Amino acid sequence: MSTGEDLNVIPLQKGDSLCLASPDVGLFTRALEQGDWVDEGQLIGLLSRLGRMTPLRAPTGFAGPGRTRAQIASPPPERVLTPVGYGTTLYELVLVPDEGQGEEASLAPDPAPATLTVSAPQSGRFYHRPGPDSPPFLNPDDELQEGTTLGLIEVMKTFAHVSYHPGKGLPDRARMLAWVAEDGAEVHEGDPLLEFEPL
Amino acid sequence: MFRHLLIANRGEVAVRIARAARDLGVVPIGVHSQADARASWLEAFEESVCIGTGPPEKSYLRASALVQAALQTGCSAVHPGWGFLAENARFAALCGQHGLTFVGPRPAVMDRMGLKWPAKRAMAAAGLMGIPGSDGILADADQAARVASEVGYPVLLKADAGGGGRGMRLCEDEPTLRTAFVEARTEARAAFGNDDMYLESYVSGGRHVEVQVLADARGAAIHLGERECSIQRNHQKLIEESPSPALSPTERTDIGLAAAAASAQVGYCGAGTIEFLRLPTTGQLCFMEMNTRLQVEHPVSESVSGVDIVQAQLRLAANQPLGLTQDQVRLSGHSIECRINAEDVHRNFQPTPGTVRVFDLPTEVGPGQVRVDTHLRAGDEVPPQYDSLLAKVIVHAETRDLAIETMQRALSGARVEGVSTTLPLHLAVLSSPEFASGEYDTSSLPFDPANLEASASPGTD
Repeated sequence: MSTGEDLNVIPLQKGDSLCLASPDVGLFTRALEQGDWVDEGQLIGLLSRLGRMTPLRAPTGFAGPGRTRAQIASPPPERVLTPVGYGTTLYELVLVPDEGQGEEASLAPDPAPATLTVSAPQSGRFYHRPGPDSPPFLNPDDELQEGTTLGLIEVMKTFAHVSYHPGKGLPDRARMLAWVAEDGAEVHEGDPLLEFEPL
Repeated sequence: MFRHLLIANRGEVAVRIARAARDLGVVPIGVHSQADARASWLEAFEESVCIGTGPPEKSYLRASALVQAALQTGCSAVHPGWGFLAENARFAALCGQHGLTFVGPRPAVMDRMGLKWPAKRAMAAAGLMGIPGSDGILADADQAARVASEVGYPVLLKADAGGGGRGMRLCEDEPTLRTAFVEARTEARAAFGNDDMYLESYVSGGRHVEVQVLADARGAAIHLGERECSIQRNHQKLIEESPSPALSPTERTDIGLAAAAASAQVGYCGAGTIEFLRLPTTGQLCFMEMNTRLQVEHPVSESVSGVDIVQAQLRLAANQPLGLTQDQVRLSGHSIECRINAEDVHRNFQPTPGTVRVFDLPTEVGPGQVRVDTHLRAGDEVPPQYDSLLAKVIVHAETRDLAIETMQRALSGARVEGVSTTLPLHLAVLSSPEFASGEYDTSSLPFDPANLEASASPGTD
């Protein structure tokens, strides 16, 4: 019955509690019971898609022994096969700190680097290359000057070039350091796209 | 007839199909992406299933999620609308494999007619001649360059699965062609999930005339007259009208009958559109492509024929006979449609997603009738992921002059705030002498964007 890859459910923060949501359209079955504990990577049900069962697993990095433990707070669905859509909540969880562990993992972020960034002129999807099989417009260490194409922004299926324009605090010539927005990433107007330093 | 219909699309077309379904007593079930999860148009459906995140390939292009959504909501049929998977034969086949009726032609016919090159061959066999160009799909930019030098520049590069100008590029020389080939491919893949390209000789100044056909599974086919779609910008249709001011009554009858006959001959079933280019030199109508789906501009044909094309699609998909002979089709009056897009005419037609604060398109203006097809109302969001169509305003009047007057009144009274719209463009075209005379073509958009005055943009920001 089971074919292909397992699917990780989607963790969603809702106020103080955490929800696990369906990663696809399908019929949800073999749900865990209220009060069961959920660890990362654990099998937490099956999703039937076009007649095939895919195991659903808890995502990694949200809970586990030694850190926070998650317990199912919601009752299981009434139907054996429950129709769900993408993002439908499967479980509501309560997070309980695992006893004996008080370790704080989060450290202060690194001090901001003294580099400059180009920001997105509009919201859309940002691409590094003219086509999926083409080389990127730019690579780290490339020189930027007036009119250098940085990438493409897709808004409503229309592609527009994003170019480098000196002024407003940007130097005439610069050297690219790294991409900030990944190839194909959804960006909002003003989001940094890439980092560079003046030449 | 079906009990539940899954509408595998979004926005205006989804709402239009839901209306036709309810008119026939069919329960419309919708789908939506997370980006559309709070859209007011989801109210048109009995129920809607979230099929993924905002980007089209993560939601509206996911054939398996759409089929699963249909199955788990008890649907027996799937209407693909236009765009997305509407001309994807694999999607149609997947529906069939899971016992769902795909509202459209059989996958094999779609494959042949939906892809432009096999369609050209089939239509040539049925007596409709095409424009000179590549003999099939282009393997790469090198082959494109070779073919282009044979047919001669300029050439038009086209996506085989394309439509609506997506994945299409005009190339004047080889360097442009090579760059355009890569870009158009990317665009085609994003828009249609298919990046096959072909090219043909570019005809400057022709007119885009298309015939609406309806065919049943018994081999009967009729046409509902033609639509003139030559008012375009970047190959995107802006204004459509029926009948075409360019055709004589004899030409009209001849091309309509030829299109219907060709549809029957290729085994077409459902609603389809055969597009022609009317050559500026000889006036000959060359076959361009067949769209095996509902078209954005279908209301124009509905207005002059009185036939509800979406209802007809559902009836034909349910294996009912046409129930209408060509002699019973009465084409009357003149109809015009304007597509109102969320684009800034003053900033090179850049899409302007955002929140529509005021959205008021009047219909009680006269002298003709006004119909507004839209999925939006004040307060709605226009998300950046999808195309920019806000609404279609369709008028029907006794004569072309009265239709133009009605449209001018309807658009002058329109108030849209929150996003920029193409309303000023439409008003400029409608009041131009070129449009009034009917003497226009695809290359002569009769206005200059630079001359658009701010005062000509009523109610826009």
